[in-house]
Amino acid sequence: MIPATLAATAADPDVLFSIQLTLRVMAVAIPLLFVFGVPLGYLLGRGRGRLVAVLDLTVSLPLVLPPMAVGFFLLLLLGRNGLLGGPLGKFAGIEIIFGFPGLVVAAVVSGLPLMVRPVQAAVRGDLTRFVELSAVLGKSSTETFVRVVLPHCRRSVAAGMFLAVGRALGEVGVSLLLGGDIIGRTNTVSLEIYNAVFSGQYDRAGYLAGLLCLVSLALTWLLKWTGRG
Amino acid sequence: MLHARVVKRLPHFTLEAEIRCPAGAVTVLTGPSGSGKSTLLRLLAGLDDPDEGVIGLGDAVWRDTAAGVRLPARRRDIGLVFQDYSLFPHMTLARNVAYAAVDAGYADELLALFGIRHLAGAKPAAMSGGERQRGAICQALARRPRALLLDEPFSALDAATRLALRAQLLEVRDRFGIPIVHVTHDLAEAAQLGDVILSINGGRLDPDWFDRQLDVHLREQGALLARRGIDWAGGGPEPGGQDADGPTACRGRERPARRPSALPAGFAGAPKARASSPPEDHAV
Repeated sequence: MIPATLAATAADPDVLFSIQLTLRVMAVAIPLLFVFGVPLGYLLGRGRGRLVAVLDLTVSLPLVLPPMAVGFFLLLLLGRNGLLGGPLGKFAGIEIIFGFPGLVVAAVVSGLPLMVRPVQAAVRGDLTRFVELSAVLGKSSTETFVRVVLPHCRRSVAAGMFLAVGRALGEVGVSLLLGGDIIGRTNTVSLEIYNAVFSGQYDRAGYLAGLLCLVSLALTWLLKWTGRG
Repeated sequence: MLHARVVKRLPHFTLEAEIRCPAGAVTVLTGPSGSGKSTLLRLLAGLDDPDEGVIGLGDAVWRDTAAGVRLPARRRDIGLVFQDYSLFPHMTLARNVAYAAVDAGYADELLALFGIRHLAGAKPAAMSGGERQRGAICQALARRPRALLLDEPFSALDAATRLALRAQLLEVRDRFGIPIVHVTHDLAEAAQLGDVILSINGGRLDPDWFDRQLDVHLREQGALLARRGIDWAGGGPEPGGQDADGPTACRGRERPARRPSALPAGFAGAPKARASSPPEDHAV
């Protein structure tokens, strides 16, 4: 790709839109991954019983099921006539599919298992003693979580976050079904690569694929740096 | 007086014990590995729950299974020291002690008392085992606990450090006047520290276990000394000897009189809060 073409592609409003949309999706998905992923990892790592086992399996499903299948089931659940989507639209006026919320759900669902697993592993073992110690020292569960659990597994939280963001950035299947790949509305970078290839715009596809690779490499480096600490 | 009458069904046996731990005294829980002594300590701390029984301190009831009373660990006002994991690794020593302290000044005072104030800014990984356990005792005492529980706190330390820490623990006993329950399988430690020695074997109190083990231990030591040509004059308890009074009310073995202990450097100027006579409620 010659520099002139690269510059033209980078300045293309459609390309810029897909990058901005992806950044907006990640800006909402990252806090959600943290808010749901860390307590869920803590619960799955320390909890016992059937309910925890069922929850563990449910969280893991996006890792083992084909993304298209996950997207399809979420579409049924969150669609206008879905079990959850129906009441949400009817009573709260919230429409999830074929819009920004659908892309956020896709990013969170696909990234969550990778966010949860490292935290789940970190809260097993030594941490039990520290949690017990904190309780004996008079601290509440919330204070223990904030002052002991989070600092103890901060590296695992960071590692999980990098993995989850990497996965969510490259997500196509679930985003396609929940977002609809509507040009100028829900075409994230990954979907825009798909669109570009099918319309023969290889320069655009190459530029965006290179961009995703750079971000992924940066995340890999951060992951290694986190583990080294 | 910390008291408990508990039944706890465990995978291989049932722990069934009734103990009373006087204030201002060290009650040693000893016994073979896996006998239930640490489980009993966890029941006292509220980290495990008995299947049946009553646990309390003085008139306060912490757990009564029949009455449905259950005070969580964080409301029991106790200090706890584990063998490992007694200090939070991500905090400095000062922050560790302050985490539990009722006021910052008191935390500082405790660090000075134990001679580790100079380590206030250090993290546990940069401290020796003995310093970490001193810090852990400071942390446990920082909330002004009504009882101090220790689960084999010195077992990972070298002999010299163990001796120094035992002496400091006796000073804690005299200075703070609270019930101290100390779990150990080290017979020498039990003998040195225990004002009351309770042996647990297979989940039940076994009043003779300590003397039997001490007998074996002393015979081994005697044989070792004889082999090296050293004449052992004795002067200690006769191997296998029993207390004249027989088993005590809590089926333990009570030390008849408190012996003086060497003051470690950290306690050089520390005033003694109480006389060395046994406490009034030491009626075991």
